[in-house]
Amino acid sequence: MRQLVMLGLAGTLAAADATPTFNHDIAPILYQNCATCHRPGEVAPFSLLTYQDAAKRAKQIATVTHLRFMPPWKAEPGYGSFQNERRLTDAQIALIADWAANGAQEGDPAEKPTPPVFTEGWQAGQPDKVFTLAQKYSLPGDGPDQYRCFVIPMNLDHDVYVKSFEFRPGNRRIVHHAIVFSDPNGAARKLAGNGNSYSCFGGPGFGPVNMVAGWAPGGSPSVAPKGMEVVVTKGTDLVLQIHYHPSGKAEDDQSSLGMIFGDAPTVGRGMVFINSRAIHIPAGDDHYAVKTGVTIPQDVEALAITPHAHYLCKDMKIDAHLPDGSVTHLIWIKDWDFNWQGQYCFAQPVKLPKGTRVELEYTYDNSSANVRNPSHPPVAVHWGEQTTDEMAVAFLSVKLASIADQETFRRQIGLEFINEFLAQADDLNDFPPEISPQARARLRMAISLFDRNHDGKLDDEERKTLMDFLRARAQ
Amino acid sequence: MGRRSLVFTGLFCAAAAWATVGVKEVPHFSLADTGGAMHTDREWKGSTVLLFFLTTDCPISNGYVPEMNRIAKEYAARGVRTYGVMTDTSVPLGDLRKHVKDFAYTFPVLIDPTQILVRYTNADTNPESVLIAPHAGIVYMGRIDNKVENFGEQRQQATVHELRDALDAALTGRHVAKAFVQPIGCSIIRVN
Repeated sequence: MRQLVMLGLAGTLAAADATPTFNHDIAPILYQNCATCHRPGEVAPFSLLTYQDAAKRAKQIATVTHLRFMPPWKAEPGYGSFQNERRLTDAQIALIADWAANGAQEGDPAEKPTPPVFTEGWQAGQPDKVFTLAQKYSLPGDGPDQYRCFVIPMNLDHDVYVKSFEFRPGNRRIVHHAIVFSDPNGAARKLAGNGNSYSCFGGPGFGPVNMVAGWAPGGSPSVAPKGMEVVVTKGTDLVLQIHYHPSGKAEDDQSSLGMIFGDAPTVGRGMVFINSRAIHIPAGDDHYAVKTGVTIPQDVEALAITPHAHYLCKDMKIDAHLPDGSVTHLIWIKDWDFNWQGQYCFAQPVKLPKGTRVELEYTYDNSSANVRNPSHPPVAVHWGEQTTDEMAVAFLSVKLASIADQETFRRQIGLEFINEFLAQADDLNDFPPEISPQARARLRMAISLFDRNHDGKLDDEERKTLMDFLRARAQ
Repeated sequence: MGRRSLVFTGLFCAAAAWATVGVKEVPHFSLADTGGAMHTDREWKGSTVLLFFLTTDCPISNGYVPEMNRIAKEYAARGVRTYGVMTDTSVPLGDLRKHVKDFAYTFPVLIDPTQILVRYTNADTNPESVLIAPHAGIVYMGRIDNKVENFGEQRQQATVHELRDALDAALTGRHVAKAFVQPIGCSIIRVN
């Protein structure tokens, strides 16, 4: 009874406030958070720039913002602070609901904010090189999503330094997201055979995976700050992976990738690859956890983080445990959705001193209650690159103290990767693709030398001795 | 007392969703389809009728067009008459025609400027299916299948096909087990 009285009181108070209007309350929210995509010619299915556009969808906007389906932003507030956050506050969501429930009124024209002005065409400026798909790619109107890798032959006779990668979707109705990988070994050309593209899912279908850029609806092109250009070495191809989502009718796409070149980088960069292949999810298990991590071998500053898993993953938490005992939350995604993956750039670089342990914990739901489960009924799921497999990956892009540290860092982080592999692997001969064939031979020898009790395995003590030996050599 | 009135409110809401299912006289109408042909309630007499409520710019509705076409074709052989109903009255005729041509609907799509069929069925979502059986009235309303479970929660393939189940039941004189299943999609905008 008391609750009812209080509800009544709250209603009276709300009524005392002015009813929200498009011009006064809603347009500023839409222009700030939605209009990048929801404007004519852009990726969203309809525009939200005018009162008429928004008013007729008021109920819809209230529903999808309440669910936080829109705007798409997966990172939980309070766990990492990121650039270009597209997340409405609870107050903004309540305001939209209030507006929709009270007739979606237009309000005083004098209060209407000026609609935002957007750059037409290439957002980062005219590219130095534009790669456009050689042929239109045809997608049927119906059926499963497709992941297609297009080989971009760079045919370089010298290294180039890319300041900006900008993806322009050709057909916005079907292009869902895109990732650019680099391929120094011609692996993608082989996979494409006589054509220039091949089917791929998650990664590019070869290892080691080196992701250089990505695009998702609403994202702005990645422009490297001065000194942090991406090096594309002579002989390297790029691979453009496009995720296509059928629209209901047969469609064609001919997307483009623009590149702006700059000067040789002067800032040391490194990539920390956190990965577990020890994934064995029983059919029906609705809460399977995978934990792994890596120890940072030098003082670094984290610039961006890209978590990755497939359809069963629900929850992703990545924390940095600093040597002083403090914990820095890097990211938490409570409702992972493969369709909205992307790179999260930290608002400010995150200092990770040498010895910091970056811990990843992902949880998976392999029950039939998980709508996104690709297997019906559920089956046991293991590590792998197919849609029906799972992964537990995070890429952490870091800045080093100096460019002179790059080579050492690359070797050191490679060793940390090996350490995690040795600690977790079910089979020490089952090397991940990130470990090169040459390294495998040496590693195999080292494992046999340090396997003191000759049981074919490395216990924690043996592994530590081996790693101390390898780390000393990598300094 | 307060508690009881809350309970009643809950009951009333549930009843409202169900109220449209059941015998309710089909209103007299005369509506053009996007190709210009006229359709009236007389052509429904004695037939099982399937309506799909649609709009041009709803991705979930558009994504279902191939399945709507398959259902229309398969059940036409069993005497079912299928129609689309355009619910957004603000879309110009030229855009409606282009949309229907692009998506290659295989059934007539009705233009309903006064939303007479929206009011008759109380459909509130695009896409929403409504199945009307002779003498029994509306026997099923709601989603086509469970491929789209919620916004952002989509199965790669549907595992439950509520509309097909309802059609099969209605055509063989059986009781439709689930008469209403909440559709997911874009809200229908009611005209005043």
